[in-house]
Amino acid sequence: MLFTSLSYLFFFPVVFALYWLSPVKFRRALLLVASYAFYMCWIPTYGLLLFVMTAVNYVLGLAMDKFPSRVKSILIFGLVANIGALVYFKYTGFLLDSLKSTIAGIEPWFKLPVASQDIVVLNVILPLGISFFVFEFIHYLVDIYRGHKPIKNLLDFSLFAAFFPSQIAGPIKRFQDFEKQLTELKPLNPTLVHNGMTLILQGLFKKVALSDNLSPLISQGYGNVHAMGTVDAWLASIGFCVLVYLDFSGYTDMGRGSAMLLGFKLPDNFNLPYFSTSLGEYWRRWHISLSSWLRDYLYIPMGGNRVSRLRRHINLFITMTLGGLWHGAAWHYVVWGAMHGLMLAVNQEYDAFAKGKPFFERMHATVWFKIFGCALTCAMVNFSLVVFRSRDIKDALVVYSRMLSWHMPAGESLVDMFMAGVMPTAFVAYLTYFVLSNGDRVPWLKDFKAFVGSRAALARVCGWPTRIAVYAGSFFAALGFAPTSASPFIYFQF
Amino acid sequence: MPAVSTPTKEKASPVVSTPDAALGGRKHSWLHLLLEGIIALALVIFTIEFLFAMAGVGEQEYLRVDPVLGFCPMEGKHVTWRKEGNGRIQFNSQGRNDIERPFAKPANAYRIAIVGDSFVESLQVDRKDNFCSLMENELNQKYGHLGKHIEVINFGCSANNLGQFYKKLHTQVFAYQPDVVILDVSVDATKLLAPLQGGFAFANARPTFVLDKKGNLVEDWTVFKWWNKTPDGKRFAKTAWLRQYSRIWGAVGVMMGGYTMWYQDLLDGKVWGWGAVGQPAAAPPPPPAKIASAPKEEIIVVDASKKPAPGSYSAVDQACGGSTGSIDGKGKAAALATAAKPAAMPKAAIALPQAQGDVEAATRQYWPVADKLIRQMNSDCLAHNCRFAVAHLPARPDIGFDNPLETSRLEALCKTTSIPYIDLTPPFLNAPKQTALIYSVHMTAAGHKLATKEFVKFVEQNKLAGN
Repeated sequence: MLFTSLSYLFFFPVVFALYWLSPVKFRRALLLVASYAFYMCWIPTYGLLLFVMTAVNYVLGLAMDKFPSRVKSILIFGLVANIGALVYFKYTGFLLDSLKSTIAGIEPWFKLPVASQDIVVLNVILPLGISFFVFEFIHYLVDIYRGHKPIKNLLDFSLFAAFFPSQIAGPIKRFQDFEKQLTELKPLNPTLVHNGMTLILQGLFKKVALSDNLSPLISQGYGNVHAMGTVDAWLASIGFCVLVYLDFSGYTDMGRGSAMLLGFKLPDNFNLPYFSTSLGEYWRRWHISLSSWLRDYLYIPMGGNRVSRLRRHINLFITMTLGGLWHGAAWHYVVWGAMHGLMLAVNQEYDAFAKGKPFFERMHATVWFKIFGCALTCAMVNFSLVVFRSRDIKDALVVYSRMLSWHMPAGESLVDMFMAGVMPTAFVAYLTYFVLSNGDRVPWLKDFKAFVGSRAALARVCGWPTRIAVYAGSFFAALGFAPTSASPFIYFQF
Repeated sequence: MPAVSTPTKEKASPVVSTPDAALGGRKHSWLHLLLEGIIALALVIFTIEFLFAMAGVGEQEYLRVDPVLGFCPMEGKHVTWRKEGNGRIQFNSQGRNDIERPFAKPANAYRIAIVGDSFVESLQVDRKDNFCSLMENELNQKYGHLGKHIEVINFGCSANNLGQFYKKLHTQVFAYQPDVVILDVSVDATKLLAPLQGGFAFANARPTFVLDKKGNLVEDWTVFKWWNKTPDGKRFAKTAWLRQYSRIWGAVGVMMGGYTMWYQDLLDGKVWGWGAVGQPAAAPPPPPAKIASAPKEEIIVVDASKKPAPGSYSAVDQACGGSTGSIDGKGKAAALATAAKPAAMPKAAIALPQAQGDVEAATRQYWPVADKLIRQMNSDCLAHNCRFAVAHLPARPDIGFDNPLETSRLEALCKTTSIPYIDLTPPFLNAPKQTALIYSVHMTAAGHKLATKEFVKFVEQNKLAGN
């Protein structure tokens, strides 16, 4: 079930009503049932997978607490089990296919015990959200190893694993924060409802009105890279940067909004990433829950910043490469991750070089340098996402060649497609909303006291009738701009 | 000494620095809330209507009920068509995808009327890119020097059948005094003569024709009348204003379509991933009134040579007559309303055969009617001093979405009656990139260009351009 589907439109209000009408002691159980119903409406048998993995990790967590002398071996067993499940479901096909290609490449020269045609590539259906909940289980076990107390209540732990607003596409939760919220269930209040509804409607508009309209245009470009001209190649690459942000952040907003309406606060996953002035800052603003997980459970265990500079760069490179692999079982994702590893290493070297030098510190404080930094960061992200989006490395190289040397388009221009649809109007509407609602987060807007003051004055005058009218209007606007066929949510494949 | 009162410290009123802080704070009277709600709703509706108008959202509903033709496009309506292609057009004051043209033919004008269905209406491309506009430009470039300005007038309307083409000829086309009428027949023309009973949509509420025992055309309004009395039909009539002017309503229509499909999936158990939910299937629509067969009843004879009976097609034709000068949209509508009342339904006529779904069966059953209609149109055109030609437009030849039975019979009929005929299917099939010529059903801009090229050749070869 997608957050943007009609099914969810009926499912969530029922869950919301039942949750707040039921006695407090039944609410967690109700949420658990709803979460499993949400997950199992796709492929019911995979609910069993979630249940088994939940049970195994719950037992392992308790065992680590009960048997401190064996904590390391239990942890290793747990990591092998979780990573093993992830590898089996997500990477079996990829590994077998890569092995088959490798053997096919070398068998003309070497006599091997196995021929490439003997290798059968299995296509295992990827359970939805497995990348996310496996990472949550790994975080859980590692944090217990580091001294945190496990969740004793099976119901609470099951809900941590299956909580439907974050089940399929994150954000990757931290169990300590979630458990605390379970013990301090908030009452329903107007602020919660307003913030939750705002997030849901904002996310809905980003996903269905903007992302779903942009997706066919990007697919048209990347689906036939040889027909793209230079302008189209740039439009497709920049468009994909915008698309992946709108798609993922939109979906996350809907999940966070749904959680908020149930009284839960999920961690923020995006903080205006395209306003970053360096790549390091970008990764602190983009998919925050994943990048912090990679830092805490991969980079820091490898030594973090406590090792030599060269070793630090190697660790960063490995972390980002594995982060790329997490996104998908294909080599171009690995290359994308490796590119970010290299670029981050260069960024770190520059930071080390500039540190303590007054000239650089003065230069970094200027507005122009901030603008330059932002443009450079966006350019690096843009270039790397070409590899991410392309079908394979060959296609990525064609796109790069189109971007860097002049070509005329061979088919319908993407610019014409963009202008002919609803996107120009939808984008202008969204940007207007963005400026009005995020003015205090954008550097140059928040300095306008009159701007902030007028928003406060408007809020004092407007009550619930206005809010309800705006909610209804936003909902209809999102659905009105939505194309007739929805595009799949990009991060579902991860 | 005067008493000095120590100034009391006033409590600073809480500064509301963020919009969220205002939530749940001040309480308003019910009147304030009511007024606020009304104003807010009005502003929101206005804003969304404005945004939708900018983006062309909710502009896909454009047909209205019509007492003469069953349904017709709304006059002056903006339409943005994105189901296939991307066309943004505005219908003219006569409800056609065409520029405004006077009824009275200018002295130096040579008029070619193209009558057809959605293939002629061409909502999938901008007006300047459809084959009618392209034909007009090209023919004027070639023959404009002969002193005549050639006008190619678009009389296309989606989902029209041959019967509606016939009625339109008398109620609209002849009012423009065309020199040539080209009838464009696509794959649906004969099949749509069969009245449908299930899976009802507004565009199926149309008049049709049958033949009486003497082989004369008999008009039938059963399905139209039945549908307009159904809850859907009544709702349609009540929401006519909204469908014409509100883009929010248009968008809601699309959403309801999506909801209906989802609900059907839910009933079929496709939504939840396991079994059927166990809901009862939706009740089928009631069948239209069945017409008993009885030979001795009054029938409508369509014969242009006779004095037109009140309410007959010829009467409507004269009411809208082009010789009286141009009539504006309102006047024409009024003329249509008074003169074009459909003739009284015969109390009994030939029972209507049902051939829903099976294209070949429908063609076999209704071909005699189609044959008669085309022959009648030919003789009516000759009686109005204009030439008549027939064209067959391709639907989707690459997957054989064609009606070979209809095509072969149409060709044979035209040969027998010496009606100039062109079949555009072979040029489309033989074109190097056929898939670029047709979307899922209708022509792309490239398809229109190819159609223009073939039509111009056809018109020249048959001296239909005043050449």
